[in-house]
Amino acid sequence: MDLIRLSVVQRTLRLILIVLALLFTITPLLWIISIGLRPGSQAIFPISILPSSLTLDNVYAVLFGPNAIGLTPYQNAAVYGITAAVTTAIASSLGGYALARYDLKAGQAVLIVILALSFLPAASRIVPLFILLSASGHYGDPLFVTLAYAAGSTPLGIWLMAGTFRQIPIRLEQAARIDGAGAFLTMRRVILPLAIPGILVVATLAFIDGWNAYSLPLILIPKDTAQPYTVALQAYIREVGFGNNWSLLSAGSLVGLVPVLVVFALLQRRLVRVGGLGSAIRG
Amino acid sequence: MRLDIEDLTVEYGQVAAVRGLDLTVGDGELVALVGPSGCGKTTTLGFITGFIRGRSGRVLFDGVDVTGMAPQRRGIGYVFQDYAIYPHMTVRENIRFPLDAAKTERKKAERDVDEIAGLMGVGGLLGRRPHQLSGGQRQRVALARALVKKPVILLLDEPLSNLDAHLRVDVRAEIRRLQLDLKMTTVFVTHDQSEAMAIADRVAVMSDGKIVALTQPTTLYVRPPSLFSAQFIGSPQINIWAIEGPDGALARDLARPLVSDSPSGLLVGARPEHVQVGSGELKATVTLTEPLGRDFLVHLDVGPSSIRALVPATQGVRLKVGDEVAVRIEPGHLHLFDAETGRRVEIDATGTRHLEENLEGKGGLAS
Repeated sequence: MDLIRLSVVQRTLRLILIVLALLFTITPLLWIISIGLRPGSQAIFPISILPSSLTLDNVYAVLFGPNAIGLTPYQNAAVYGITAAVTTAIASSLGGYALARYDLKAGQAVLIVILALSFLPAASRIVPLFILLSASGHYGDPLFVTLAYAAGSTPLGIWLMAGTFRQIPIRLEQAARIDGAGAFLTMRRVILPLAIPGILVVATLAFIDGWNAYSLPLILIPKDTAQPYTVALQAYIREVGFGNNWSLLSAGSLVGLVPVLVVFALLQRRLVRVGGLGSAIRG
Repeated sequence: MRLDIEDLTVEYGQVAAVRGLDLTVGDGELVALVGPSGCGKTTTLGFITGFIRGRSGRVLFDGVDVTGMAPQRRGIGYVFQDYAIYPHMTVRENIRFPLDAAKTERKKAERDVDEIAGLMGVGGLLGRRPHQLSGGQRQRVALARALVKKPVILLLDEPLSNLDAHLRVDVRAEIRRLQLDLKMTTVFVTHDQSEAMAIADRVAVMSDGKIVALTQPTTLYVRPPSLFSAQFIGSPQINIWAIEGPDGALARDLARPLVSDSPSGLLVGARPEHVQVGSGELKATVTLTEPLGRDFLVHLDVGPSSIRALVPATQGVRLKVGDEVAVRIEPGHLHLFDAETGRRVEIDATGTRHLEENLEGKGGLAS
């Protein structure tokens, strides 16, 4: 239900904006599908928008063909994604709870600084991280790269979790205390079950960040077998496709897209609810 | 279990929410804390539970100081205004939660849940989720959850204010019956004076962080110990006329039989139901009649002053705006208050004034 009646002009304008936004996000995706699923001979200029025939040859070549990257890089990416998701969810819940429930002196300022931090591009962290990990002797350890990604996702996570916890009436926590539950039982039986939608959103965002990690593993992990699919795919294309085999690159990216799409499909309704409420990002 | 609060002061920043409050609730007694919003009554409950810390003050259960004890160890039963039922649990899980927290053996816990749910009339709802319940049902579930662990003290924070008007009287009576049956020491917070009067053994009237009257409902009505409690208790509100001021003529007329000396510094009060319309020495003009059902509230003018009178409907329907009527108030139904302090004033046989010092309203002469 629209809360405000829009005029015809306004509605048309809104429709145009929505279509433009959709085109902007969907076109690259459709293009990758179009290129990745057509025979390699058709992926050269002059190029048609739609393929004349569809094939899974490219996907097969990337996964199982000669010099293929195989499934290991995808497994690595999954480990990065899941570890980052779990770490981020725990850290964000703790931080978000503190900001939501305790009357911290600079609580509002901390939240704003945290949000600003979440806008820092991953690239800006590369050099400091490189120096830090080299100096501490952890250069090349995938665990620390994962932690770096979790650290990147946690600011926004804290922000979202603070909003989630604020929506849980404090009365419920007080009721649990009066009912005789200590801090741990209150957390486990009352707060966490009610915060699950927010936690899922935070974990999903962190998972996608970790899964799609590229710049940090590229620079901080010298060992090939520990690389995620993003880095492995690029190396593979350089070797097999002489740097510009678009159909193989698209096919490899498509495989990487599948888990992300699956996660989003599963959580779609919850994501919309938390994001759409807007209150999750209320100061 | 007996409950004592001693010298409680709670401050929020610069503002004092409760100032030097003392309260004793006897074993099995129900005391209602009543007062306008912001008078400190919910803050006082918060102190009993341990969620709110006082700047000073102690709380004792049966003489044992529990001021520093964590809320979850106090064994209190609490019903919140909005019930605070756990939305993600079934009714059964909600009621069982306090028993789970106490690590009660599962079989016994289920038996206790069934028993209290039956007592509260929610036995058929145990499998439901809170959003499937009506307001009245939620209220019962909240009560069942508060009572299932056999609390040492029951605290009720405006438990009826979210109910429909027609349910309120029923649930009120049910709570009282249950409380009497279980002989549960209970503090009942409400802003509704009639609710407080109806349910309580004693009523504590709070104003501005202090208890300004603490006595039995009937005493509060018949001999209100202070101006504030006189105005707060009773509906429609008591008439008050000041000797000094525009109502002076009427106030002096009314007070003459009681006060032999020059009646200065006094407020004269009379409840609308004690104003007799139809006979008497005062001449009044009807300015408005309001049908209230059984009674009519009649607004009258006597010179520059106005009087509210409650008359039976049979008489009320015959009164028209502009009618001239005779009015009288029995001197025995008049209340006198000190204009400065608001304390009740009693006049003894020699004409000496006595200021009511006692919150219980029993300090004066008449008792």
